[in-house]
Amino acid sequence: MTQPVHRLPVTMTVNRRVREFEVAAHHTLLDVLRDELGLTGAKECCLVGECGACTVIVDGRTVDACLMLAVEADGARLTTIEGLAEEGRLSPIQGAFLDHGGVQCGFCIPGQVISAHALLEANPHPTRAEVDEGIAGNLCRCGCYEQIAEAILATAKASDDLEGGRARTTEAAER
Amino acid sequence: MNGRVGASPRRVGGHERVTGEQAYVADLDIPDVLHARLVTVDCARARIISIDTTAAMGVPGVRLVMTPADLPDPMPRFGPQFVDRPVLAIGETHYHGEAVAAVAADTKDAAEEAVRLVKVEYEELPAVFTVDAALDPGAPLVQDPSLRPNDPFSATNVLREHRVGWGDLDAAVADLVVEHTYQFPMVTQFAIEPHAYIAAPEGDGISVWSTIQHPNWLQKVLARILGLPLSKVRILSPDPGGAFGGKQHAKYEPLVAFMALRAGRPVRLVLTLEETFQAVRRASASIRVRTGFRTDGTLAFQDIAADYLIGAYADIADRVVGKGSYPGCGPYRVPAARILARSILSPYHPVDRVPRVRRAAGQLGGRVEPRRGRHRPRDRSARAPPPQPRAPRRVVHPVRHAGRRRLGAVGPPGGRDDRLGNAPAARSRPRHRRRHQVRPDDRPLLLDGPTPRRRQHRRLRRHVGHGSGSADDPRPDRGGRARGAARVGHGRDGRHRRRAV
Repeated sequence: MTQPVHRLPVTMTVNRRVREFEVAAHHTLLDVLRDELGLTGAKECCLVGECGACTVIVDGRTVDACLMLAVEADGARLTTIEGLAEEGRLSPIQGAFLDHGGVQCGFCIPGQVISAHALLEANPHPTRAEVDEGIAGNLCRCGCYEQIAEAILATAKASDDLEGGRARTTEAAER
Repeated sequence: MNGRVGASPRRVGGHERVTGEQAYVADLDIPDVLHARLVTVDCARARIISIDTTAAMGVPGVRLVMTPADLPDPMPRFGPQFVDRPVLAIGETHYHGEAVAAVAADTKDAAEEAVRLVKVEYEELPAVFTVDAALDPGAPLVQDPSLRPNDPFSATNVLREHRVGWGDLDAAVADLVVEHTYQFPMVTQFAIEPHAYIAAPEGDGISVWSTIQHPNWLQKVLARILGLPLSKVRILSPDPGGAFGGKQHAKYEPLVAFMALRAGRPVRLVLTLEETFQAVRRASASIRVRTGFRTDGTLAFQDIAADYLIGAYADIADRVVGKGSYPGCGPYRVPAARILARSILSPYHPVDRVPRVRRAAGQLGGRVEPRRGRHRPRDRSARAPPPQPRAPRRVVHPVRHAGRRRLGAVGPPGGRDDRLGNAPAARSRPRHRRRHQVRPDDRPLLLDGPTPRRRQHRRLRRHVGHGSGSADDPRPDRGGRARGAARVGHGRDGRHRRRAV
């Protein structure tokens, strides 16, 4: 370290696991995720909050990790792209991205998937306009926006069908 | 959705991409790595008077401050067409953002601090920024003429001229002539992944990870510049996060390689997005198009002069200028044509892409242009005073093969560079490409019937050529397939099939 660097203890729940460690006061959440926790799924690109490649979920809200100081995330619950697939099984939104060809070079995809996931958590039945709004903070330079929006709508519809199916099953059982 | 003929298989490597496992160059964890940052000066062209690294070396954790004095003399240079780009600017910088020194330190913080402390004394020099200024006989030269000995253009800012033409343009008779000059700004490719490089000494050789699109070309560049045999230079190019032509050729790999060899440790340079914007771009251009029409709607001639403002170092720009200009008349029957394209050096960063003349001249092969709203000659002609050809676009027919062969001056029709010469083949190309994808399915591979040899050959070639790892990954355990489903993968030779239940 070049100058005396203030290191502060923080506690975060990262992908359902409680982590306690020290961070430099001037390091961003992205620096800490990538360099100290080894979670390189969030990507480093513009560092000014334009591209969304570093999107993570902090206490239920999507955040550009490059714009948030790590100390600000003290006590927060974080979900990164590494936390979506459980036991190696893709989450529905991840599978939908693959099925709809939403993935090309893939660099923006962790951010896109996180934004899509957060959108569906907050609004399980988004309209197309709401989907566009939900991923407005994520650039895809390969231009997969159409496929990504389709993937999100399809995921919403699939969970809808699933819920409808469950309801019908329950009704049948009751009868 | 998986794999059978006619369906859309999941993207190879897609599983890694949606889970964040895919490791791009900047994600690689190389033990003991040093973090590098570039030192630049804040002007387009400057004479470097001195570089003082004392304060920077005093920063704890700084292992190396590389200046031109630490590199071989004469300064090693590289470039795919002209060997003109120095590893570090020597004596003079030639574009804004050109590195004059570089720092490597244990941490990013230390490297950034040290960059601020490298003292560069420099004198700003006059520079030319437009086509007109660059072509002025009194303009300062972007490149020292000694870089291009025995070159008739070396005393000017013109790097090369490309001339293509046919028919007798001066004798061509037209009822209506439309002339306009079209300006194209420089733009960035903006691949979303910033350029990144890692070099690690390995025994008596070196390994280099790069976001490069042409790893084999890079290998040759590094072997020559480092004085190593090819077998001692290993290039690893993980799938890039987009490139769009902007990651074709060596940029900072030679610098990072020299730094790693000097430090005796791996060195990692990940460009910021701003540095990436200054690493490569598409050229700006000024394209004058003069088109003659006859009242029956056919074309009489096309006279095109295209001036491209390329960078201070040629990179691949001049070759792309050649390729971007000769098909300038598009898919139309043009009895007489004259195309002159010039690559003009300017104090800007290197160019890997240029606007196609066809965009100015009014058409893209096979693409339906909007009829209105584009200020292109054919649209302009529709608005010009009488005699007014009625909707000339509908009358001017695309040439067929026979007409196209007039382009023979630049290569055989249908040859590698003649993209318009063999339109049906060109159209079918993307379909072949799609077939490169792995077909992980439990169904018999129906496509392996009539023409397997050719396809397998292509697949093999791609696999060997790109070395990106994931394209033909034989591991069948990806893609979220149903448990217990039979899987078919294929191995390195592109032919081996494996079945497992």
